[in-house]
Amino acid sequence: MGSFTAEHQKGLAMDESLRGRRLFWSYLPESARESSESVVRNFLLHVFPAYVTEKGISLFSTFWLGTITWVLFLILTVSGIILMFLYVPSVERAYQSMKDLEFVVSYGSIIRSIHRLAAHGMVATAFLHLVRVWYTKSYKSSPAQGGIREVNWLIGIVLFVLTLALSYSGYLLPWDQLAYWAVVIGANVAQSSPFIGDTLREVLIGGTQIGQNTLIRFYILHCVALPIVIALVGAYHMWRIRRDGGLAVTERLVSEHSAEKVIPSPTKTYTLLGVKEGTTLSVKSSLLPDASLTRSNPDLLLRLIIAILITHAIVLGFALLVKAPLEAPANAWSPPNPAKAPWYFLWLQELIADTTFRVGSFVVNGGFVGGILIPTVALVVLAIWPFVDRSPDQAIGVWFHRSRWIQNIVFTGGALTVIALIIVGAFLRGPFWKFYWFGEPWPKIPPLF
Amino acid sequence: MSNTESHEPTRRSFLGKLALGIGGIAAAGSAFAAVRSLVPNVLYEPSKKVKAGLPGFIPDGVTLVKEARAYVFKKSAGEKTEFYCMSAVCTHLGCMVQYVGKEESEPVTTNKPRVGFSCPCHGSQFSLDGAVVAGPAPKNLPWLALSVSPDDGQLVVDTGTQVDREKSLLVWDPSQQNIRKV
Repeated sequence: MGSFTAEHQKGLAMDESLRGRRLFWSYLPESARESSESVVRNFLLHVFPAYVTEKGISLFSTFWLGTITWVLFLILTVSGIILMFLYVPSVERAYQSMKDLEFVVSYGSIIRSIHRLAAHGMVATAFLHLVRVWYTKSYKSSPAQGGIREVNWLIGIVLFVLTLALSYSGYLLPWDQLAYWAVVIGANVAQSSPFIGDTLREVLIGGTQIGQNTLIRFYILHCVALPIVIALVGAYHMWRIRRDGGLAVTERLVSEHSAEKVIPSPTKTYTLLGVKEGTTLSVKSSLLPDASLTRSNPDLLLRLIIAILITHAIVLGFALLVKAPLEAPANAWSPPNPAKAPWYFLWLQELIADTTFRVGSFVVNGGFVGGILIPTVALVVLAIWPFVDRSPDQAIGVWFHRSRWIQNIVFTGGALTVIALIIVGAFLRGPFWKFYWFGEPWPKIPPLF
Repeated sequence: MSNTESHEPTRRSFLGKLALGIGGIAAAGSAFAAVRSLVPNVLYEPSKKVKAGLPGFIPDGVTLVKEARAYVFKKSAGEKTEFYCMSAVCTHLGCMVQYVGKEESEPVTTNKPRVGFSCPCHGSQFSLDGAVVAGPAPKNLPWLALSVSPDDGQLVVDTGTQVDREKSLLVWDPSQQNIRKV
């Protein structure tokens, strides 16, 4: 790296046409032209637009939550591949390979802890990303701008469900008590769905009882099927950001800037901020004044690298402090008491425990109501919300816009309800899922078997 | 691909449709095979009939038969011994209910049925005969068929056969205890 400056000076002296041939030239562009060319010629950079808005890459517009979610997925992929070398998906050996990871493999417990914490973090950042998009009304495009950001909202919801599915299938693999009883409950929630319940359960666990078939199914789902799906859908999610003309905050800048002088052109569809269809503004290097723009390379690139490095450093730091827990080996005769799901499913567990309702002799299992019906309704409401949101286009890309205060309160109420249910499940439920107030001692219940 | 000028099928349009049809059938067939292969035809699972031990050696009161995931109840009264058997799998979402009948901590009130079994996962409570007392369980715990194995006289729990309550009592005469083939 010592010759970097020298290399640079050589680069300056180089013929303009030869510049592009240098191996690493694009990461340190010296001119606007070189910067723009880098995103065209470099495979890794070609996903970026040539220019981004200052506002779009500023921390407080997005808190980089989507990017951090993606970085966590990268960390999960790499650490997951390492774990695949060290884990045996068999009922007899799965738990033993966890013990080996913890006590025999060099740094095994750290790698496992990284994987677990990154997974928890990915659920959290994906949710916070969704929250950010809601509060900034980034799920909408103004018709004048030609994007369809609603589609990306729907894809985002799919990605969130996939993230939860990955987490669920992942914590089954250690085949400890948490894993085993999570499969039992998950499989029976699936069974409680009407008409197809029994078939669904049989396909999910590969039989009528939980065993080797179940483990190998969830292993393939976790290591192959779901990651591939989430990578493809995630790539589409990111491509659509540019397809819809960049971030919502950028769209707001564009509409503010060009509110008066828009002359729709019938043919031109390209700007350097994004590719759009339909009649949009005429082609310029940008629709925005140069002062609000900045080069993707290096400004966006550097921030991205910083996001990757800091996210990894934080995950590693926590992994050194917090060991991944491992419960007792799976025991089909004695669930832990209380048996609790990880935090992101605790609200569902609490719902499942509370929502069985009886009308005379007619009973609907809480497994269906709390485990399937309520989450599905919540997802459907989230999915259709952008299409019924009638707030003005000025709210797009603005945090907590005045016109949306009612829907923001509704959303906050929903999110707080989920968080409250998680807190109840985490802290206020003792043995036999009985209610105990904070600090109230739990009775000692000896394990019976 | 298709002839837009007339609706008369040409060789080109026919071959096009044929190719699409064959391709579609092949795709649908493969998709069906892929899904169907994941529904098992043979289950290598433990038998649903589980031997629970010789009736004489089963203690009075409640005993868990692990392999059957069921509780066996024994009540001796003079010459007669009654057995009945109840599934230990919670009707809510399949956790194993735990026997809590021994706990005397909660006062027994007259209008409230005594809790015999509690579920650690979502807090369903059942009485000693399996009726739902509280919690999210939608149904009572089913009673399972009991029989005596003809070859060695052990009590056999059939987890695949549910029986009506009160009809499932197996009255067993201790004087016939020695009838067993070795």
